[in-house]
Amino acid sequence: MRSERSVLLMAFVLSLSAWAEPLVGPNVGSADTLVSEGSKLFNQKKYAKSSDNFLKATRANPANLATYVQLARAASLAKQLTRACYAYRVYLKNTPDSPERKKAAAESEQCERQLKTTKGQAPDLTQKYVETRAAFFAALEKGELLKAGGAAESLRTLVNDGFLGPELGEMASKLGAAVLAEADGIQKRALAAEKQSSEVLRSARPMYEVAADVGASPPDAKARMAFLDGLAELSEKDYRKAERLFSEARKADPLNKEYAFYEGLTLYQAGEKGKALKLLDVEMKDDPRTAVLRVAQALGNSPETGAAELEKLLFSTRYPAEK
Amino acid sequence: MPKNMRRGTVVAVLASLMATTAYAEGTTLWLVRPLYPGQEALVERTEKALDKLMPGDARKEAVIGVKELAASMKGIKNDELPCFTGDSRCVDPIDPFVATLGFDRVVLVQGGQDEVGVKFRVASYEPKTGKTAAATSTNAVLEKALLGAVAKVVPVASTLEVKSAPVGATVFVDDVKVGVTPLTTQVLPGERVVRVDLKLHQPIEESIIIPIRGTATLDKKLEKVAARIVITAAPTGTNISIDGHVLGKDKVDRGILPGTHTIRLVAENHRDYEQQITVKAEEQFVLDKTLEPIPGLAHGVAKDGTLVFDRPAAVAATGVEAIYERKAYFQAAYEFSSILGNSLVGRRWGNNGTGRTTSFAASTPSRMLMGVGAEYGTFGRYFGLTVVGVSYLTNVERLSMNVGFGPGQGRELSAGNPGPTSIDPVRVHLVTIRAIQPQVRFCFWKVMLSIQAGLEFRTGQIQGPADTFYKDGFMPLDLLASARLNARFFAYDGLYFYGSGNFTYLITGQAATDESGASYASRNQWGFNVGVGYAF
Repeated sequence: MRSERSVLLMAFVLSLSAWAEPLVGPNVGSADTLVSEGSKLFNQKKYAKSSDNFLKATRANPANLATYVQLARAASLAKQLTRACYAYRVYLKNTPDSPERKKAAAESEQCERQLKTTKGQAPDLTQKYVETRAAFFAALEKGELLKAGGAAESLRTLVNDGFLGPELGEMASKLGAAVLAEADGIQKRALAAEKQSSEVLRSARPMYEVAADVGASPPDAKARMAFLDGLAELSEKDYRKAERLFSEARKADPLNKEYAFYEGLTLYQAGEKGKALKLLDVEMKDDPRTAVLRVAQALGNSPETGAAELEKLLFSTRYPAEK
Repeated sequence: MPKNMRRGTVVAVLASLMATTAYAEGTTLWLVRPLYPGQEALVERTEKALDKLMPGDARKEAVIGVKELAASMKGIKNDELPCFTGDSRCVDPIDPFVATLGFDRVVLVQGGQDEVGVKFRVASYEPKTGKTAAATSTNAVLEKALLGAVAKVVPVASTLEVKSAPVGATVFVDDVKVGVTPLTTQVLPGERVVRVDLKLHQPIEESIIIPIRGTATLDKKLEKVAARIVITAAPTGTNISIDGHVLGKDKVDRGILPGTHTIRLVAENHRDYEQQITVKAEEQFVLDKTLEPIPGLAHGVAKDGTLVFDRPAAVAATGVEAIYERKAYFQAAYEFSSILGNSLVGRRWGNNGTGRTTSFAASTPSRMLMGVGAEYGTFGRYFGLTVVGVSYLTNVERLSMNVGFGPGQGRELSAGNPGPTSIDPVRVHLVTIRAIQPQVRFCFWKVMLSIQAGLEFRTGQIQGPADTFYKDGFMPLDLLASARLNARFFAYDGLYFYGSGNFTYLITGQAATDESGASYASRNQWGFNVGVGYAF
């Protein structure tokens, strides 16, 4: 379990980077669309914009090597020679056997020559890429996922610095798996009603966000984040916020009835028992917890209705069916 | 109710409820529902039966029905519910919820009435463990059906205390000996028949309701009697009379004055029984008697063990009615017969010849045959049937034989030479077989007379001396109509002696022609038999 200090620091760092765009994977955009758009701009001789589209395409799908050549050509014509030559190198390194290779190699040589003779180009960050990659893997190894200098930050630095290559996809995948494992552990413990501090509960949200940034987000991530934040609010007895968050979770994942139950539980603890029963009657009518709440509510109304409800409950749940 | 007051004051919050249940340990909630639609009235009857069966302390620890449940739940607040604290994983709060209401056990009863009787299905549920058990029982009496099911799933052992003065009396519960007084024993609750029995004392038998988890006490003073009789009679419903007064059915156990008394036992379709007894002071007379069934509606009277029937003595004394209840008979006889004429025609087989016939003449006019026979048939007082009967007869006197022709045939040849026309002497072996002959019977006392009629088949062999030309002899093949008059006398049980006279008339058979052209056929026959048989 992390110390509270490290969790706070992690939360701080992540809050700074929360504005960032998705890094790798489908959340960046559709690779095919980006390539198509880039090609269109290329044909319109809008090489700088075309280069940006191809760059995004390599992040949306780092495994598609053809995009790197397209990026190199667009960047070359946009006079972004550092980016162009780097893209050629990445392509050539990862494409040993391709009919396009010879042509690309020739273009790469020409690019390198131009780069040497042209002034005012961006510096070559290859060495920095090496160092940042090493930092990424070291942090991943230590489990330092979200803290300053951690794996998530390293990957973000690499992307922001223009790092290219299929390896980017693998790094994103590893980071995504690591943060998901961490966040899912919190979610699992929460569903098992294990005690977790509100800080820990809240730490799951940035993890799910990083997972989303690297294309590893589960389909119900939104519900999970709302649920865990709701639990944090419930533990701090902020029933209004908790109810809103549980409601958000319930609507985001209607199949998980625990979200509905916790919404009802929040209402019950907030003293709105009637509202709680109404909600649970709609969402999980046959659940034993709803049945018990129904009896308790009836008992609160009058002993007679309470007794009648209890009788119904016992015969319906504790009277074995005849064989 | 005191228990409700306790509940109402103590259970202000659930935490305190959990810590201190309103009821003492062992409080049971009994809830009843009809098993079949439209039988809601049975719910109230069942609740009343439960109330009746749980007096005293057991009743104080019971909440029976929804109304009592409602009354017992007054004042209960449910500020917190299991699962709604969020403290721990919880998917089914029913058990802890019911436990916090203070119930150690919940008994769910469903009762219904159908053509068999009252049926109860009872489920016992323990909220603290979640354990459930169910049982079913059916009985014509509601209380017995209810207890039958309840006793299987709820620990309901009750205590029975029996005291008597004087002590030492044997105690029976539902006819099972459980000990001697003073006695304290565990028994199942419900209606039980308790009998306290001490020699030379008037026994006491009482039906008492033993409560669920309660105690029933029977404390009786046994009255001494000068003498005592214990009469047990079967079959069920046997009337027991002493000195002309009917005292009861099946069993009488009472004191009696010393002296001579007459016991009479009477039951429908059974022989009456009568016995004179002499009972001395401070003695106990015991009689265990099963009356003997008799066919029909005849009733007899037994005096000192000897049966004397009120029907005609000749019939009753032998138990003859039983004879005629028998279903079958088998009999064996010594048979005498005589052929009414001088010809018995047989045909030849083999020796390359076609049929040949012969006639024979006795050297004496009687043509007497003797042999043995056996018969099996069905039995009945008025009708019967000879299923099958076989007789073997052979000639007693010397018979000779003339050999003639078959119709259209010449005499048998051997190496071109015809056989002899006369053989002397000959041996006759005759077998007659009769089957499916109906009998009409008339019976009186041990005597049965019957007439039977039907068909018989006669065959056999007529042989000459060993060196005769006709080595294989001649075979009669005749179909006869026969009538018999039988008389049977039953000597013992189904054993009988019998005599029978018979006459057989030739319907068809072999024909023969001699060289003069005269025609011959077999003749009719008469005879009589004597023998023994057994009807079973």
